[in-house]
Amino acid sequence: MMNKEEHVTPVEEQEVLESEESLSPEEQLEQEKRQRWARWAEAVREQGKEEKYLTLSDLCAWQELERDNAAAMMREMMAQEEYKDICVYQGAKDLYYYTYPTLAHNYVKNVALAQEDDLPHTIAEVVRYESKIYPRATEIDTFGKFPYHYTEIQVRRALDAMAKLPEFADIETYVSGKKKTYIFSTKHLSRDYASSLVEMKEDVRIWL
Amino acid sequence: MYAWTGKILRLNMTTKTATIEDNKYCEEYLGGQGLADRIIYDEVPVGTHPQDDASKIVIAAGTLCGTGAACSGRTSVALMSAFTEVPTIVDAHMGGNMAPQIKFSGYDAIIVEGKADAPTWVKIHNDEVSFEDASSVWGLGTRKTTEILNQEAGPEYCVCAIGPAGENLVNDSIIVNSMCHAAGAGSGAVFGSKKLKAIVIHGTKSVAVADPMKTLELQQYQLRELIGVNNNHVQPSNQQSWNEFVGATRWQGGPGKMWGEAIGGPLDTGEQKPGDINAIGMRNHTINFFMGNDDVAFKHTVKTGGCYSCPIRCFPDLHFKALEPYGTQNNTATCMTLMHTSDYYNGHINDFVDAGDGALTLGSHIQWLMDDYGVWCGYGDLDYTFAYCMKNDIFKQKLSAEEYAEIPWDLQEAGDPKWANEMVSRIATKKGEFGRVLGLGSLWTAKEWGFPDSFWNEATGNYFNFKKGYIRHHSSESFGQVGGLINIVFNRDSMCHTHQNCLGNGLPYDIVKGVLEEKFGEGCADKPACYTPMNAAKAKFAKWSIVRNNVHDSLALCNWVWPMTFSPMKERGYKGDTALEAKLLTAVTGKEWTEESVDFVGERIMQLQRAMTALEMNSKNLRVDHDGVSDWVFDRDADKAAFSEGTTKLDRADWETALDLYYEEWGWDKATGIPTRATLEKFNLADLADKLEAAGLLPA
Repeated sequence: MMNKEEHVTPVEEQEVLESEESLSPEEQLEQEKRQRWARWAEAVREQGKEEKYLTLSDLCAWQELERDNAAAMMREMMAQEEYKDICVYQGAKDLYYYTYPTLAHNYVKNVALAQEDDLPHTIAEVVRYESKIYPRATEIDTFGKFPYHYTEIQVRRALDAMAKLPEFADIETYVSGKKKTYIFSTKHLSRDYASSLVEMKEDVRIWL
Repeated sequence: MYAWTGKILRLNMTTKTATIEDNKYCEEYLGGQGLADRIIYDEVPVGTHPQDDASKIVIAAGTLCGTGAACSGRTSVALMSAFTEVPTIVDAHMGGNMAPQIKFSGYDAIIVEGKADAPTWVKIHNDEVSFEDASSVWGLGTRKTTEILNQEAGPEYCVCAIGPAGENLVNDSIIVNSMCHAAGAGSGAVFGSKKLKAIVIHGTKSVAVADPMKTLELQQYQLRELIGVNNNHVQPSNQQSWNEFVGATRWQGGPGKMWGEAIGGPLDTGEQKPGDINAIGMRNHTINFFMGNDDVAFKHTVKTGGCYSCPIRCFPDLHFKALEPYGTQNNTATCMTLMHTSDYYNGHINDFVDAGDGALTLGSHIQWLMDDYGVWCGYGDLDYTFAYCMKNDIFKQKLSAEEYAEIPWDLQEAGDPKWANEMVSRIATKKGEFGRVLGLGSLWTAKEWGFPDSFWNEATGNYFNFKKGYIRHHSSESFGQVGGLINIVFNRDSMCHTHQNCLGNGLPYDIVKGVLEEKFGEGCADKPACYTPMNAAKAKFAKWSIVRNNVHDSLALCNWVWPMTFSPMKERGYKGDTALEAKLLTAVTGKEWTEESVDFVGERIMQLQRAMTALEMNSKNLRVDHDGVSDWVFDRDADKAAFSEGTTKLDRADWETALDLYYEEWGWDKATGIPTRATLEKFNLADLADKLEAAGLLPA
């Protein structure tokens, strides 16, 4: 996280004052905005070097700003060509700013999902994405690994709960010939196709 | 001369003489497999059994070997097969250190001919060649032999040896260099028939490169932007900060993935961003990919290892304390053999130390023994045959009561490592009918023990080619007709990975499809288990896969990594660079090569093999005699129609169309699948056309 205090030398301070004195009020506002963008972008990029993102909550706490105001300022900043590397993932509970391609979109999404700790939502997000994009059914072990780290009991409990909710009606499970549980979305994969892909994945001879 | 040495070393085992000859095929066949196949055609009469006096074996290095090109340590071996109905041209390949030592000694290839009257090993140091008495190592395993001959010749030498299986002329035998890099296809028995225990070689010459800076630049470009891991899987199996996609891939390394037995303590393989070339060696873990559960293979890993000039490190050095009593505790593990523990143990697998470590521990033990005794698994051919025999009580039916009673089946049932010693040593020494028949290869085992056709046709789908004696290898399960068409043309299991490397590489299907369609046309690459009818683009994809495989085997490049069809870099849209082989060849030879001119040589090699096969089989119709497919390919998943979602089954009528389009791509007569004269002449193979014509085999 960036330090709130900025250290400037007396000479630099004088230069800034002189420069500000020569600007119109509109120009001063514009300059302040651009300086803010530069600070915020640097903050996001610094976080990226440590494989982290900057949340809107952290930004507001740091800059002592209202969420809507800060989010609007970030949107405006991200529209500028020089900040095109700054991206945002909109989670259910927060906004996550990151630099791309230093951090992968899906890395940020998955870490953010884990941080928000809404397991049914996470399962649905990940499973629907994998069923649609790869396509494949998702092994239940996925949610025990980084970045999720849930226990299998937690995942199974969540699946049981999801089975009773209409918004997760597309989320189904398949137990393979090797007795492993996979999860898939019927929005993107039929049960028949999902099970075939699973059995192909588990047929070692195909991949030797 | 750049890249090539321009010389071939001929070892005559009968006269114990060595001669150095010019390599007249440098540019025409590149080297490696192309050169070795051509020499076999030139010098070994049709019909020669691999163990006959007239038989020869060619061990060849490729053009790029010794130039520093990535993954350029492959050695190609050409010989006649014993496991097929009639002797046919086959190639075998090994990694390790043999090919570079051949090049550094000043040769592009070694031809071994004749037969010694007593066990012999050959020591080669540049132009100095000596034939040494091998009586003290005859009967020993490849590991002890290597140890002894390295002590004798020096640790800098590469020892390429046979074990008891080769000495006893077992069809399913191998030659092994550097203790763990094997070439199969019965090559061990060819050495054995010549009483050649080992070639021990070290060279101190250099391979000249026309443009070293360009070569280096291309290598750096490959490492930074193109290369993934084994099978050119280009996305990790775990989420790292940089990767958009996570796949079930051989890229197993990542944060928290530890080499558990590393010297100095467990080592975290860490993040492995593309561009960080020093992290490439931490990416791959083939055995963990297969074993998966709880990273059990990582726990036993000392480090990863690899062949000469290869950054991928595709095999791990494993250590098992539980195997110390058996002397097999340290193993360099590759995928085959190790993965079929369950077959050999008929499912009787117990944990050793940790839960779920039984298959890995026993598998590593078996693999160690197979390398040491020099037995070839035939890409699982032996495993499947053995499992079939167990399942169908064949041993009880075919072995004498005395022999059956003498075999310690209780060790198998107990999951005892000593069972593997029993089984492998019996095959290697042809002990009893059990050992003799199992080592023949599936075709001859099936013949001797009268297996029904269902052995080949079972819906479990192990033999794509019907009654040929070799197993499927990335056939119709890999891009449908494409993988199937690739499988039919060889005289052993297809070792082509060009197409397979595009499947399961960690990228979403739409990206894979986009890259391949740009190269071969719309509809070339079906979604897994969701096939469409045959089209010309698929025929092009299939043909190119083989052509490029031949190019790799001739350049000494590893087809388990090459070609660079895909890239891990999102900035490249995950598209690789399939022209890299040509660019490297241009840089090292100083002559202009293009993808087209390189592929032309790759195609020439296939045309040569195909014509040789027709001659060897004395076949007027390879479409019928050679390219027949087992029924399961079309009959599996009885409740599903071909081209429906969720099945890899093919359609019989569509397969005929596939053959037509495929033969047309190759320039083969559609009715017979044999190259036409025009095709052969296009590739400067008029002599083959003449021979086919003289034998009455050339298509009208």
